[in-house]
Amino acid sequence: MRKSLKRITALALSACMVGAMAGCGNGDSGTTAAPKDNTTAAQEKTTAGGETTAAETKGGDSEKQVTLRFSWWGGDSRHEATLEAIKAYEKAHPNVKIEGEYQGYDGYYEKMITTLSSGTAPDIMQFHRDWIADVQGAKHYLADMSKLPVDLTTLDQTVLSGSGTYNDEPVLYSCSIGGQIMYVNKEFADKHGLDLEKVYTWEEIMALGKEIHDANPDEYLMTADIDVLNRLIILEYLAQMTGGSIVNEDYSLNFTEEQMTAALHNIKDLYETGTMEPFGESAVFVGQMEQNTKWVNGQIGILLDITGATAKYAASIEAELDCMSIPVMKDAKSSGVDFSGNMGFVINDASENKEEAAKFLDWMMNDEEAIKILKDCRGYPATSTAIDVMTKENLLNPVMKKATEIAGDNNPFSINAISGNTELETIRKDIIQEVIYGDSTPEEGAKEMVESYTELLETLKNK
Amino acid sequence: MAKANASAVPAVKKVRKLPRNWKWGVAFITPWIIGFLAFQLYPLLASLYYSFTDFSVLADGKWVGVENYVKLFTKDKHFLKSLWLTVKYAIMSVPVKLAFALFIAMLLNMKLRGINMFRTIYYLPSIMGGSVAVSILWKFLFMQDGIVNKALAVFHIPAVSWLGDPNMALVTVSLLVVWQFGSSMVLFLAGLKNVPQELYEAASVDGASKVRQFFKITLPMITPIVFFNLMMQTINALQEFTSVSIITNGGPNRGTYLLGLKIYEEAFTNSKMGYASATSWVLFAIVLVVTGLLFKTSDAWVYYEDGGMN
Amino acid sequence: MSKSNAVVVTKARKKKTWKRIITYAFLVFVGFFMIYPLVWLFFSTFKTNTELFGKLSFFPETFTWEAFVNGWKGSGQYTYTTFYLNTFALVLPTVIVTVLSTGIVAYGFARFKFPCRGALFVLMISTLMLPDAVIIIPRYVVFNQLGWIDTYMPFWIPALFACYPFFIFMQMQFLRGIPRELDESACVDGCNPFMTYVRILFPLMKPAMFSVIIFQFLWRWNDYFNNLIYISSVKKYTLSLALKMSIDSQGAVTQWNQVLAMSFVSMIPPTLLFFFAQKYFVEGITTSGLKG
Repeated sequence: MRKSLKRITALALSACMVGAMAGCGNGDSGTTAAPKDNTTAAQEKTTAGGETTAAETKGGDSEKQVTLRFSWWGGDSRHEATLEAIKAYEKAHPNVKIEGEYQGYDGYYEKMITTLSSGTAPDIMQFHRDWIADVQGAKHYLADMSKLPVDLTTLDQTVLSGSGTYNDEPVLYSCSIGGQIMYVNKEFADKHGLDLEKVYTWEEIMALGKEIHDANPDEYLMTADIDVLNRLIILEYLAQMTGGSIVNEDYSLNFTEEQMTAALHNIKDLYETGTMEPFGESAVFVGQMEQNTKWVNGQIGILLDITGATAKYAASIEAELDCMSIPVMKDAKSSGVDFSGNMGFVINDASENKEEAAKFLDWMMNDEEAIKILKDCRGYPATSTAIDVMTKENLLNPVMKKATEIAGDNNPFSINAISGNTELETIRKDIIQEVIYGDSTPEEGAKEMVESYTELLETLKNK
Repeated sequence: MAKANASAVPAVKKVRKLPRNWKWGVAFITPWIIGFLAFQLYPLLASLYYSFTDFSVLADGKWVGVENYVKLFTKDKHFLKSLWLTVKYAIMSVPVKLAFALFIAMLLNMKLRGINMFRTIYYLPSIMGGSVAVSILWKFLFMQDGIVNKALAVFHIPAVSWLGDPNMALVTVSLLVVWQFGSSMVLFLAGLKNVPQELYEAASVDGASKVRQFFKITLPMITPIVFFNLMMQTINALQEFTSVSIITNGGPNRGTYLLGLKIYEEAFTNSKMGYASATSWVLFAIVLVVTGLLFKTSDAWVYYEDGGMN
Repeated sequence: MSKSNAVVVTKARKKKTWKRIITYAFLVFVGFFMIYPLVWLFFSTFKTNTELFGKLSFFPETFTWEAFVNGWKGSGQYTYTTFYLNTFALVLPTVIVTVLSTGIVAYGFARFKFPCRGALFVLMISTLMLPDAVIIIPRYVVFNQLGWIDTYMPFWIPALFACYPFFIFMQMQFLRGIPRELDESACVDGCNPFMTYVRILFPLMKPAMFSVIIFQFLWRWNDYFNNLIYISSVKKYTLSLALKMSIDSQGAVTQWNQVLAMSFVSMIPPTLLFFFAQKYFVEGITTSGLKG
């Protein structure tokens, strides 16, 4: 066998090839997603546990027995609150049974797209706004909520159109709103004279950062991982110059090479002045900035993130957590804050029980009882009803409330779907790191970025 | 069975003489054949088919011919770099891990009091696998003012940027897989057990040193296991995903962007299953060549008690 | 051993004592690096988030079993008792059928010649070579069409049909280290090939088989991604899913001490299994067995 391995390898490979070719012949049906009726099969399976299976053929709509599958990601507090809400809903609607399928964030998106493509996805899903374009762009997976019994009027209309709409159909019901903010260790701020009420310019921030680091080499004003640099700093800086998203709706670039050079220079300066903790040192905490030892120990004063992350950062330091506006350049065209609903719920278009799912969703978002149970377990609520109830009952986390107000004031913008394309992001992240590590200058980086963006957008447009 | 064989032999004699008991052999591997056809063949072929399409997880793809493959080698800025990193990683981690595992297995094979405890302790890191605990632990050990750098400072060695320097990060990740050497160790232990004690006794009587015994008896006798470990660890290293995904996520500056991670990202983050499949098949071809070569060399150094099959 | 060797033996014994001490010292030294993380993990279960990430101290400031108690309760409907039992329900049958099926297939490949054996062997090994990421989707499609989603069938049935080439190949290598004369001598006694395997080789394969048990147990026990994809209802969640259930890097607070406490608890069964199985790696049927 060993002697003839080469021949056999070739044989085996060509056999595979032939098999594959044959596979393509009767191709499409074989390789594509499973037939639709699997949804029913899967649903029946979940019901089989206790309840009798839905009698779909008979009975009035309101009395129909239905089982809804509802998936979300989160931590313990969110799981507990959501399960309690489900219980309350089931009590009020005895004909509805809701199966919660909850998990941590790790692998959630992968699971959702796998189940969507195979027709086994849950009826209601918690979704990131960033996923909408990829998912709905591929196929009409998500239900058009304007045709379902859910009250969309309580959502801020700019949030709904900016974050929840795809191809003129509202598909994502935002459950929280917010934008970019700087989380501040209050003790650190007091010690170093950081004025939380002031909107700093980038130059002022760097001057302060340099002062702090020069006085104590172990301290830095800020830290950031690659995602923050990419999503928060570069995009904000550009938006302050251009007033909008990096790519226009017609797939043309909304920035010039000079502007990108300036944005990359800004990042380089943040590191060179010692304002930012060296990239290599913070690289250990990529994706988990709240675990950064220097931040936890109060040697770093500021973390940039979106407003919804308040609880995570508040729990990570012993000092009090506060927040302030991100730096804004002089004569900025916008504050650079992308104020939108970054998380929400979608309804599976292939679901048999879209109506019931929508009713439950509406209840979660707009019913007083639900709001009191769910509180801010998914961040600062997006619906006017929820804000009213929570203000009245004094249930809003003060830091989160302040953060949301700061982010929402001061002329924010709302990023469009195409600008969130993951391939564009990947290119950006690479170039940012090349600039930081000195592999290329900001000028070279900006040139490369414009070139690869133009090429990529061309292919995306023709798709 | 014997009768059936006897009657079967003359009938096929003209074409080829069938080996004795071949039907038994086929019968024994039948479960795998069924399993292969039912659960593995389709995924294998599907991924090959995908590699010629622009299939994403969410949307049916259309046939694009060899475009994905062409793009890999001509346009993809990361592919060749990733490939090189992956090879570097395999060369760096596999021999160290195996040598370490074999050395420890020899120690743990001794009849000492409390050796059971030691064996278990040495296996513990492998039990931790790719868990959250490991990713947190690695941060503590290797961050700028982490435990490792503090220990180095005691010996006046300047702090190393273990995870911040793109080149160093790959070494740090390799350390993790070397540390989790348990599975190779277990196999070596099991292999060592099959070395007949008489051989050592005879060698001792002849006055052979321990080192000589190792090279003349132990190593030759366990070559089947060495070969197995070498092959499996190489295949695993070339596909490595977990360690880089939990510790560095491919960074910094793509310094640990191994092919396994790239494939995962293309498939799920960028929703380019077709492209990811093409990348996988290139990797597949490379692994096939490497393992083929290993098999070829194994003729020269692997010793089988069964006298060889072919 | 002859009497003339007795003097040599006593001298050697003295040398041996020294060697033993050095060996122990070395084992303890390396062992320290091996066990350090586990001890750290244990102590970390007593720390708050800020203590865990901020202070690099080894020992916690306070000792309470709170993290274990609260961690065990889980988040919401099910406790870790459920997740533990589920994991056993998934892992144990898988391990048992893996040992049985892969052993016999390995025997078939290692000891018999048959048409296309080489090609089939290459095909088997090659199934190891494609990264999981690209076969997850088609595999999901297969199991979905069989109606096995949200059951443990995707884990049990492939194991039953020996879809673990790693273990087949591994046991082949062990079998090939066992002289063929052994099976042949058994055949003289009138055993058919199957009985040869059961009576002669199966007992000799113990070290290999325990390796299969340990590896398969541990890998299924720790496996996250397959569990995540195939199991959707929380009441069927396994430990690996439960362990990550509380970790939301996107916003919610993660109680790391509870996560680490449960990680610690989840390591106990594999550790115990290893501890009790390891004697099969050293204690000897070797010589007597090989003499036949």
